[in-house]
Amino acid sequence: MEEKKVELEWEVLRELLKLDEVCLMSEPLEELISGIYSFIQSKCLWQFFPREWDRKANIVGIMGMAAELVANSRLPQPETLVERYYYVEAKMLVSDIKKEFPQLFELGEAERREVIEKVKKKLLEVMVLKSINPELRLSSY
Amino acid sequence: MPFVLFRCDEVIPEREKHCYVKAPGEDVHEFLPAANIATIPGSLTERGCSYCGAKLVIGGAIKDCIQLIHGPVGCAYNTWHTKRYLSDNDNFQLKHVCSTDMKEVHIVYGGMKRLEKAIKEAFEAYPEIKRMIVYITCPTALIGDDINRVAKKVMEELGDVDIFCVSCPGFAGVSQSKGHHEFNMEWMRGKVGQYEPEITSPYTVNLIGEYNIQGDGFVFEDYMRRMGIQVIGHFTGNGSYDMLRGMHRAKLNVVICARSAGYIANELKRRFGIPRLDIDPWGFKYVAEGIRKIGAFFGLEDRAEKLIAEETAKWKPKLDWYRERLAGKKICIWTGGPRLWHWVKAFEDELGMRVVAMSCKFGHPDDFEKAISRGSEGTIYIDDGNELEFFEVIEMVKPDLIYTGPRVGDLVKKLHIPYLNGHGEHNGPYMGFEGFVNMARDMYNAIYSPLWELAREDLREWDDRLGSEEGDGGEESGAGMGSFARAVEAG
Repeated sequence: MEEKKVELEWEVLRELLKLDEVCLMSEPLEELISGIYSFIQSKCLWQFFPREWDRKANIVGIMGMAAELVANSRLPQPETLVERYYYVEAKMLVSDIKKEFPQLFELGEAERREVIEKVKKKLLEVMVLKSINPELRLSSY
Repeated sequence: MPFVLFRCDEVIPEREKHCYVKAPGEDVHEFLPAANIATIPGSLTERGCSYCGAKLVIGGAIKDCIQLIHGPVGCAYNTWHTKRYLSDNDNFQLKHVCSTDMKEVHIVYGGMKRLEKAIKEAFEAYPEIKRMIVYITCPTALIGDDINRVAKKVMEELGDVDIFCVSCPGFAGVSQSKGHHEFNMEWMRGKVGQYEPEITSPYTVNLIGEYNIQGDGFVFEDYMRRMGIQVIGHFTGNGSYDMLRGMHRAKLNVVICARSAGYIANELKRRFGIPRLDIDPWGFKYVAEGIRKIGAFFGLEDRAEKLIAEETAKWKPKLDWYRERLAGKKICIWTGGPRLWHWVKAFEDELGMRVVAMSCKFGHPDDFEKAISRGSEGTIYIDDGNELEFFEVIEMVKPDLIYTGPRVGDLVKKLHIPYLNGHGEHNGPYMGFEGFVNMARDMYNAIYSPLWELAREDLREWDDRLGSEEGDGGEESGAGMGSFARAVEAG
């Protein structure tokens, strides 16, 4: 029963990532995605939470809000304490990205959002889907 | 070849999967050292035991309860006062520890009556203390003593006391990490939610995985006070037993040692919806970032910026002085688990040092994910390192300084390499702005101390040299003594 549940979650995640999709972004944008991804890897602790479910929740929650913030489309309105936490991490991350990768903000709104979405997918791919951490999928702490 | 088999491990090739050297372009989903698995027979591990993880690391830092170890007296002594975690109640927890002092007869006939007697005696000896932690140990677990039953009986009998029991015999799990886990989960199951703390601020946090080593937690508590934030549960440095029962009332969990206390933060998130914010409190940039995040969470950005500005103005010039002198120095971090990833970037980015090797005793795979992601290419990463591997690594990387514990530290000192205590800290606090300057000062003093050069000298050569300078006169003062020894005696 437990195994089936885990398998099902993986299917959902694969769908979310759409790994088979060919990335059609230009080379400079690919470099930008790779740069932001490496920056997050070497800095942010939230991507390393110990279990698959909370690691995934953090990446989706924080990067989702970061995408909204860089696109200036609508400011996230956190309702719960956990959402407020995601918002804070996203806000700090975007502030760092502004300093480290100013070229992102020379792009249009849609492209900015897309770049962050691609970074999110890469993080999910490396830190969750392809992770070789054997403790990630234990059912309890 | 990302994994390496050291020469000393040729007879235990299983060690290869624990030793990794980061190559350009490698990601943590490609290579990760094996961690948190049983030590391979033949490898002289530096690990501690599960009981040690529960008592020495976590429970022992709680300031207002009696620590009672149900086992042989050595288990009490070996986890007592070896870690300098301070408290604001005259360090009660550092001064006192109780043991049931189990002997052969109690092992044969059972130790529960002895435990009951010891609990009552301890409460009589410290009448102002009404809280207690009882730890099981290997022998008392093996004979099946039911410490929970005894504790329940005494609590019912005495009425005004509360006792927490930890089932952490030394043989459980693969390292002290199991003891951390047991303490976290049992406290969460048995104690959290039992006490309603007095709330004095709309902004409330738990500080989790912070043990107030040499006053680290005092520094952080001061930052929180200046921002108007109330610390409810300090898990566990300078922590109060009852306030830790009220952890469910905080709005944010600020996590420092994610290895030893991430479990309780996760459970508080799962059960009470309290988010977990992991921070790095070492290094100016990291500390400022952590304070900014806490400030932003509560809408206290102005107070956070004021605090950062004040502290930076006070301490940054001092840090800059040390940075000039530490830049380019090679350092090894061989500690328990999280300090690898907490420290590596602070040392490299803010002090210009180069971390050439990292090893942890009880880290889990996620500790290596963090350490490798933050660490440099060419750096050596080792899980559960043994002494012979350390010798070989020293030969390979020729470090200027090693941050490690007293066990490996003694070995390092014999090689005349500067060593600093990375567990108990040398001259802390190490946390916060002030603490990072203290760290830099300790590193500077260790690296530039003339003692290391002097220690390399062969005193017999000095003896001969002094003897020839003194000529025959040497014989008059102290027959049988060398000239150097006489010189020392004469002051």
